[in-house]
Amino acid sequence: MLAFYLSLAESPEEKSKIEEIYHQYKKLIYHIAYSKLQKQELAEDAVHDVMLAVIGSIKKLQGRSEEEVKAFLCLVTRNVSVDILRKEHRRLAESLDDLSLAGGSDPQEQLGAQALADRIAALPALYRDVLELTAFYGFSVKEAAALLKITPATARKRLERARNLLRIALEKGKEAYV
Amino acid sequence: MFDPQEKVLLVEAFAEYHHILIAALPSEEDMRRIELSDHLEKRMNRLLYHQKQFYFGLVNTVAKRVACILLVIFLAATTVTFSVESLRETVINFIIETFEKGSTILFSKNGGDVSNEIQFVTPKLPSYIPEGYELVVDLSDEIEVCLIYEGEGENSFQFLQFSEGSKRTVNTEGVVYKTIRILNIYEGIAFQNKGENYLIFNDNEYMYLITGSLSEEELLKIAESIPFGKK
Repeated sequence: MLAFYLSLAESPEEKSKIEEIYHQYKKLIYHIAYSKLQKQELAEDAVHDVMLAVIGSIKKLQGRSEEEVKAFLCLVTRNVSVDILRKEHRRLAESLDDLSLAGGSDPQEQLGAQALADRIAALPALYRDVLELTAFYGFSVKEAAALLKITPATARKRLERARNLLRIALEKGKEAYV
Repeated sequence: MFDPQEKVLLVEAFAEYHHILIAALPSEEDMRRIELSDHLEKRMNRLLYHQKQFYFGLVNTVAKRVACILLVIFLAATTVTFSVESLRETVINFIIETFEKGSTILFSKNGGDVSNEIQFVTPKLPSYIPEGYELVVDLSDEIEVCLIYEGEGENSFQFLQFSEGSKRTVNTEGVVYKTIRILNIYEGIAFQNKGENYLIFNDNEYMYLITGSLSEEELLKIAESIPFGKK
């Protein structure tokens, strides 16, 4: 079924930005998708679906740095690829072993953004993505859920788990902030 | 959702995390070796073109409440002759779901279920093109015909042809539909929005959308020149 859902990107700047993002990052999106999907047709579908997500999220990407846009595209491409794989009925190896790496009560916990960044990197992608979309890119839980194609309830649960896993590091960070 | 301190910490931490992430991505040199297919480029050019046109709107069914007015358009695959009245009421219907700002029009041969298989389109191009107009962009591929014609000034029109299961979202805020008939056989709808005329119809094989700054009469002439029924 062909379904075109196109943007309420109202301003010409937003519409141009979408085009700019595509031309600048199309190969990156394709590369990430292909590395997961290993099939040209599926990777091409992924590129298309990623751009649909970009069109729907363009307001959140306006004014963002190149690095922030790239990171967003990585997140979305990964999720789109997982979604396509799911539809292809393949088994996904989404390891939850990483849970053991984050959130431990380490009395020698380092402070600062770098330490927290390490914790974030160690989070399972399932949890990290919701946290990243809400905390960094400013999506609401509902918007993040729509982007990740999960229910808002699932998104809220994953967000809570991400925060629980980072809790110690966040509390240490707050102490230093004060 | 986040207290201010937590938010600041997370933003800083994610910025650091992004440095790590980006550093692990392939280099520009590696990317240069990637070749994207013509099919993908055409498909994406079409998407990028459509997203710039004012008459398309995004339908986000998760975020918006849906006001559904369901009228079903289909042509029965039958040789039985219907009277004009019964043809209108029982055979030809549209499926239109009305959202806040856009309508999604679904073409189904059987009035409901559509095939999930990709269906290739044999182009049925109109032989009548209004004087002064020429084809400027061809965004067609195997599953959709999409042609853009331009005339003098900013006058233009689009001809689209696609297969069963195709959905089109058009901005229908505040418009009033009327039914029309191409060659007295193929029913569809016509409406005007923001100075542009629209014709949407099907011949039980494909769905057609012709839209642009031309008059409804000109769009009808274009529609009537489509070689319906010919292979």
